[in-house]
Amino acid sequence: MNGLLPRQPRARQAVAVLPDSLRTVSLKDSATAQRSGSDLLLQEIPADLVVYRMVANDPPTAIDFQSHYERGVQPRPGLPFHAYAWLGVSVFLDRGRAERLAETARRRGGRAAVAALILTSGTGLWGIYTERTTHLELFALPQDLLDRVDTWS
Amino acid sequence: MVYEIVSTQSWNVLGTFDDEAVAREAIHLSVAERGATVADLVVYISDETGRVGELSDSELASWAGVDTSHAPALRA
Repeated sequence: MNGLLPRQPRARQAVAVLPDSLRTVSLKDSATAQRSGSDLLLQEIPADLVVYRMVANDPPTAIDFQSHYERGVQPRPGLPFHAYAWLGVSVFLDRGRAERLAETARRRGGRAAVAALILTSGTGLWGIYTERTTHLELFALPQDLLDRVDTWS
Repeated sequence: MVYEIVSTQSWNVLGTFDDEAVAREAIHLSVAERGATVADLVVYISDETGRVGELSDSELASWAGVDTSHAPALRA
């Protein structure tokens, strides 16, 4: 996985750790993956990472980390990946990707900044990623993600 | 080319596709069946060199089937 940045883990509350055999689920058999050529992996965060997300509030709030589910948007029927995307929150391993979203938001008249989040492995945080992109779909409550914000600008 | 569709309501990625036809279908369905508007979506296109462009509103409307008078193109 490109762009992984090793971090010194911060002290966090210990959580149960799943067996290795259950930590990674390949989604490459899903219809979306077959059609898009992606190899999607559902995985517990494998290493300490810094990830980036565009936020509209200064300072960031939990609203900035809502999934479509949290926003009350109805899920799309059909392909399995739609459900994952509906439940997930997008972050990027590449700050430039989040900066591009912020530029788009500002051009459309919105306020935008980029928040850096520190994700610590072994804390029960799961996500979906592909090897081909720096996009990561996280599954966590908005407040949990907000608590992981390190800096924003 | 890789096509990434993002919601401007939540700033979450709705889908990433390397097949233009599939990306067009996803956009069309979002607008035709899910009630999204062109303003609710942004599409980034990246090529093999890593260069990234963005569909204009008119191009996006064309993909969504709202306006077929524009052809999509990679813009810096």
